[in-house]
Parts: sequence; C-alpha cells; structure tokens
Amino acid sequence: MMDSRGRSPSMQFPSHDHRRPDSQIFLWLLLGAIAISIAVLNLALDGNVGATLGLVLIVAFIAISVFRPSISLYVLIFLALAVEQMTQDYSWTGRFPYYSNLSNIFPSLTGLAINPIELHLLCIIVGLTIRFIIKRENFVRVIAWKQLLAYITAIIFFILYGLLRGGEFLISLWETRAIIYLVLLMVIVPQILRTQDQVRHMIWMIIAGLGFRAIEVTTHYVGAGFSLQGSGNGWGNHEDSGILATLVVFALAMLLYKVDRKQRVVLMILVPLMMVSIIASDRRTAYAVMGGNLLLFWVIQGPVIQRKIFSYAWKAGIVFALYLGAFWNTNSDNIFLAPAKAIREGFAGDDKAAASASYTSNLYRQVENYDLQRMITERPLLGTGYGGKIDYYMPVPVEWDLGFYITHNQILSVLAKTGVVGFTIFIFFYLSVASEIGFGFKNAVNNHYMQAVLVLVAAGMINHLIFSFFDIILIYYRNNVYLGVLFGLASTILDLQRKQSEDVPPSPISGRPNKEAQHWLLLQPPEKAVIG
Amino acid sequence: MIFIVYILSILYTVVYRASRPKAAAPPSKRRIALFACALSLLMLGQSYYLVRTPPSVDYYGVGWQGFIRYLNARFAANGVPNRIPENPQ
Repeated sequence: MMDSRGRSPSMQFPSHDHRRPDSQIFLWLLLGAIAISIAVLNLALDGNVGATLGLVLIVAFIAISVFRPSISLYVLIFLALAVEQMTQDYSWTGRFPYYSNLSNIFPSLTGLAINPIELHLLCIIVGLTIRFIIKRENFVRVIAWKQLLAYITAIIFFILYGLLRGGEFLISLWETRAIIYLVLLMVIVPQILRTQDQVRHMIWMIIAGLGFRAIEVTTHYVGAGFSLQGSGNGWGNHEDSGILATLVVFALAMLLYKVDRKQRVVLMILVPLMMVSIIASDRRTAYAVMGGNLLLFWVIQGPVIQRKIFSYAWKAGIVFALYLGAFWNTNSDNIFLAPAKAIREGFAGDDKAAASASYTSNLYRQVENYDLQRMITERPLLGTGYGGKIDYYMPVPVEWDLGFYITHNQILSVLAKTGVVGFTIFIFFYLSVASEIGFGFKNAVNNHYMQAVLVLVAAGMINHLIFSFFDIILIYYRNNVYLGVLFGLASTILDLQRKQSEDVPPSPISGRPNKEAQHWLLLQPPEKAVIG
Repeated sequence: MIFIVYILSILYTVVYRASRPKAAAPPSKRRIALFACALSLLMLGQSYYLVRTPPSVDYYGVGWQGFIRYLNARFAANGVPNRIPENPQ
C-alpha cells in the first residue's frame, strides 16, 4: 500500500514530527522535574552554585555509571592512571583526591574509610547487576577463574589467621585493599567490554591516561633544566616508570604488527616522552622491568619473528654494553648518562662507593630482606598472616609509620606473611594467567591487534611481579587497577576467540555489523519487479 | 635477584610452551601447580641459606648518617625494633 507521496510503508522513516504527543509531554515533565530539583537543591545549599553544580555532576555521573557502565569504566581507567595515588607538591592532579578516603576529604565524615574510586567501582557494579537482571546476559568466563577463587580464599584465610594471631584488621585492609580492586576489575571488565571495538576504546583510555602522566613528568623534568632538583626522589610517582615501560613494549608490538594506524601514530609521538619520564623518575627498577618486558616480548613471538628480532637485538645489545662500559663510573645526572648510573647503582649492593647516593636505599632493602627471611624461617608453613607487624631482627631506617607493617620487597613479604602455602597459591594464580595469555596469543595469529594487546597484558604482569620485588607495588592502587583491567581485557579477547572458534555468526568479533556479510557480492539479489 | 631469574625462567617456560604455534592446549593446572610448589620451596631454601649471613651494615659510617641516627633514636624510644646496635662513635 502506497501513502499519499507514493512511498511504501517500509520507506517511511520515523521523524520528530511524528512523535506521539504523550511522549513529548513526558519529556517536558521530566525536564521540569529536574529543573525544580536543581532549584530546590540550590536553595538547600544556601544558593552555593559551585556545590549545586558539583552535586548535579555527581548524580549525572552515577546515572551514566549505572546505565552505561562501559563509559564509566573508561573514565575509571583514565582517572586511575592520570591521577597520582601519592601526590607531590608539584602534582597537576594533587587537588583531585581520587584515592583519598572520604574522611580525609570531608573531615566531618569521621571514620568513613571509603574513597572515590571505590564509590566509582560500586556504581559500575550496580549498573552491571541491573544489566544482568534486565538483559539476562551470559557470564563471560574469567581467565584462570579457579585459581583466582583459590587466591581470594587464601587472602581471606590469611586475614583471619593474622587476626587470630593478634593482627589488626585495619592493617590487613591496607595490605589487601588494592588486591581486591584487581580481583573485582578482573571479573567486571570482561562482563562489560565484550567486543573488539570496546577493547580498542579501553586501550585508547590507557594511552590517554599514561600519555597524560608522561607529559606531566616530562614537563616537570624539562622545567627543572633536565635535573632531578626539586623532585624529592625522582619526578612523578614510583610506579609510573614501570607502567610506562609496559606501554613502550606495547608500542613496539604495534610497530611490529603494523596495526591500528591511529593508535600507532599517537604511541610513536608519546614514546620519547615516556622514555624521558622513565629516566626522570630515577627508578632503578624501571630498567629491570624494561629488560624483563623486552625478554617476554621476544619469548612470546613465533620462531620466525624471534629470529628477526634477535638479528636486531644482538647488535643493540653490543651497543648498549659498550655504552654501559664507557659510562659505568659516571655520577652525572645527564639524561643520556642517568640509565648507566642507575643500572650500576642497582648492581652495587653494599659497595658504598659504587652505590653512592643510592647506598641508603640499597641498605634498608637489604636489612628488610634479612628480616623477612628470618620471619620466613621462623614460620615457614603459614607465615604470620595479614595485619601483624614486621619482626625487625635488625633495625631499618624507616621513613613512614606503615614501614612497621609493609616492606619494600612485596614478594618476600607474601612468603613471610602467608608462608609456603599462600605463596604457592599466589604464584599458581599468576602463572596460570600467564599460560592463558600465552595460549591466547598463539590463537590470535590472524588478529595482530589482539596479539599486541595480549603483549601489553603480559608486560603489565611482568611489571607487577618484578617491580614488587623491589618496591611496594603489589599493594598500590594504581598498579592493581591497571593490572585488573588488563587481565579483564585478556578474558574478553579469549572469550571472543572462543566464540569465533565455535563459529557463532550472530556475535561477530567486532561490535560493528559483519562487513563480510554486508559485502555487495554476498547480498541477496532483489526480487524482480514485474512491470505491467 | 635470584627470584627474578626464577620468575623469568618459569614465565619463559609457561608462556613459551603456551604460545608456540604447535601448542594444542595451555600447560595443565597440575604442571603449573608443580612449578609454583617448586618455586616456593626454592624461595624457602634460599631464605634458610641467606639468613645465616646477616648483611654487614655500617649504620653510622655512610649516607644519611644524621637521618639514621635520628631514626635509631626513635626506635630506641619506642622500643621497636628489637635490637639497636651501639653507635661506635
């Protein structure tokens, strides 16, 4: 049947002109109610426009988190990476208390030990739960979920065990709070991000967050005349250098596979800034992380690419060895000589002259390690549990009160606090994740972008395990949020691979419609029109 | 440093085995659990070995001397840690 303009019903498009009047009335009523609510809120806040706007934005943000958790998740990872956990006087984000407890932000809220990132996570969880109830979506399998379950159970057990042995609950919370972020994000991310496009968007947010950090740290360093003066203990946060090193390896992978030109170009622009930031952070561990990540990058490739990489790597290795040999005794803070100095100081051990400025830094790590090892030998099977003080058999120059509970070497600390039993479960979890990443990498042979993302995931894990050996990274919020999101992305990728292998046409790997099915050659021919 | 060697060699084994083109399946849970047990025992053995030789620490001779003296005084005042060495000076 044709309408008055000669169009068939299927050719008619909905337009605003044809909107039903009752829906328009509902919209106007809703807008009116919102306007009245804002006005009432403003009156209740004594006409303070800033406070009103702030509260309205918070409510809007909660609404977005609940109704579009994916957008909220992108914002979460950007903020987690861009905002510092331990702020410095010069920090650009020092006034943004994303990681501070509400009781610190609002002194009137005494004892409210919850921070904005936890509220943010809570909103996402509510949104996800609503989506599961309404849409009845399937639960995406989380990588190494049985081992993850064992890991969580072990953490809960060792908190209780520590409490039974006289530990404090608040301390045990400090020790495990960030690990809970990792676990939550590892489970939540694959439930929200289910397509390759969403994985790509998440990578954009990671690049944006870390790019912001690289720009900030480089600006401080250049502003100080390429020196560390005024930085305290290196520009930026301790964990920045390790996290940035993972993105450098990701950039290498993107270069190797020649995928996603836009991300590649942005990464190539950011890589020099990231390298400068790593040097400016003055962290010796960053070089160990970089070395470990480059080794993993080589190991994970197929034999042909391995040989190709090796053909370049041995030449680069000789040049680097010559550089180290030439500048081994340097004490200069010059940007080109700083890596040689940092590496020497890392190897210097208790050689005072060689370690120079880092002597004290090396010293308290050695003493801490000795104390931890004594603890391990005293209680080898189950350790001391979480929440207890470190047994200082030798005195350590500790700069902060938490030093009585938390040591720099977090890996030994796991062994000291949870014994051989807890440590085995801890390693079992990480190795299981590693093996799934490796297998996913092998299966993604036809999708190089996914391979590059899996390299980033593996690099994130290497950073976590190596950095934790020297510094307090295992319990840092930013690192755990980052690693939780990366593990979540790995689950998404492996799930997409599983669906592809099962050959399920309705859920293509991309969020966009299947291009192959839309190809003009494959379209069904139109029905012949019979004229006359 | 020995831990890094362990971790990297095991990651190499696990990731390498899983990511080879010929790999039909990732390494089994039992094999990974065995790796984890072996690493735990190696770490434990290393602790027993290293704990016999405490580090030789010159608390007052180098580096942030005043800082360390201050901290030691603080420790002594608080009664933690357990033992404070005598200042040789």
